[in-house]
Amino acid sequence: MDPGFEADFRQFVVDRSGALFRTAYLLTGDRHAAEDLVQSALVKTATKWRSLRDPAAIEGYVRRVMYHEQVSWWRRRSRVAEVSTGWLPDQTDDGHADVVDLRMVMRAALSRLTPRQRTMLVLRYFEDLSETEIARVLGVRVGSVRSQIYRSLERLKKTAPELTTVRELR
Amino acid sequence: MNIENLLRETLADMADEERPPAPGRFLQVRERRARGRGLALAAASIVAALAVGSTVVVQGMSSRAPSGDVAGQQNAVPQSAVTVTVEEGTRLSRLFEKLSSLTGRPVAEFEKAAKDSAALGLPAYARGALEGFAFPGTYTFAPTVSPGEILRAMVARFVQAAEDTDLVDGARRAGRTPLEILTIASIVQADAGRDEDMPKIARVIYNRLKRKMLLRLDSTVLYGLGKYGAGTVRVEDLKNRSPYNTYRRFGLPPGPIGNPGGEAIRAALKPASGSWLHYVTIDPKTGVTKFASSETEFAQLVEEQRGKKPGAE
Repeated sequence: MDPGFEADFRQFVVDRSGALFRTAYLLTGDRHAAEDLVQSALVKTATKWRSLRDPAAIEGYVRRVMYHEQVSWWRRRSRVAEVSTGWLPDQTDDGHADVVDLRMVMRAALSRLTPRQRTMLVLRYFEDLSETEIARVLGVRVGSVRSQIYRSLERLKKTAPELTTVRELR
Repeated sequence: MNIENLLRETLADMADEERPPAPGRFLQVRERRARGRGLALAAASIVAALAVGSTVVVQGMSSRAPSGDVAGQQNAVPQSAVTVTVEEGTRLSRLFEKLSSLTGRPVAEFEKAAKDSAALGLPAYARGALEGFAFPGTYTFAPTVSPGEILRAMVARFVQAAEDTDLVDGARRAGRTPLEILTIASIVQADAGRDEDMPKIARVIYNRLKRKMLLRLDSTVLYGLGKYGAGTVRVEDLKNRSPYNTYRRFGLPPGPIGNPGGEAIRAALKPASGSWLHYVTIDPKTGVTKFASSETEFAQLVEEQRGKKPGAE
């Protein structure tokens, strides 16, 4: 085995696994699933290592594998498992949850989206990719990204009506 | 605030609170877990996979896909990604200039972002200052990345490195604060020409502190003056009233003088054993540094250094 590869690979994992894990955690919402997702993407990347000399290309590649696995793994499932958070926000007297509560509501609502919707939201609002970039990374049309994101936001508002009070806060 | 901003904040919160596993987790052989998604693969299988992969002629990655799911998608990696390499020991002032030229944003934006210690995720012991906490390494960002996000990523990597080196506990065992250890590491980083000298340089600093000697370090003086270049310190520089002037002020400077890497942090936590009180970089080109335990030896080293550097003083 090429010792240079092993050292480089090790270094990459040391440098980047934290950031990759955070994204994976947002994608899956589950610590163990996130670890598996990162691990499996790293394995796939290792097979292409030689062709990916540039660190930017390596990271881009790992991420792309993660996004795809996340979307496609779920696609193969017959049913989306719902994650019960066992948490309900308190409402204040005037019906407005405060901002911290709203974030908790948002989390619960996120867990009810499909993985595809959730992945797009993470790419858009956490990774700050543009709609065009998301389309490119996931291999779908821009129009489809746009409509999915729009629908996801609508769905968030519907699953958690409290979120529509956001506008009046602050 | 609208729902999009709330979503942004919620995601950032979630990402922050879930602590990543140590990198070793992804490098070790693991038991296959019954739960969740597929295989928990490990280093052994990575190596095996590479052996298979290496027999295949692989063309440019951008046109190749890792699995059937992504087959045929072209150029999926954003082409305009911003890649920044932060070298060990880089000072923030220089880092900001570099970031400014890479992103086209003014230095002032980075300076402003550096003041928002909560958003950066700085540990409390940083006391709100970023110097020392922008961890060296190579970073890749989406082209739309903001200055705050860039710096935040560097702090995140620091936090990881602090965990890997056990900085907080190690500092406690050494009877120092984590910030002091990091300050020592930053001096070690600035002064070591070679990694193997780092633990000895750290030892010199500890020995001098213990004996309540002035540190007398050019690197800290230069930092205080915002200047560069070992060997360029002039006599009047040593009279400067900056808190970084360790020729005038006892003890460590008030904070790190650059952003040290993992090796330097480890050296500050685990100095070599020895009674040295001085070090002299004999040849800045090769980084050869020699150590002395007495004034006499030190004087000899200084002579040796001058011998190699015609025209100095």
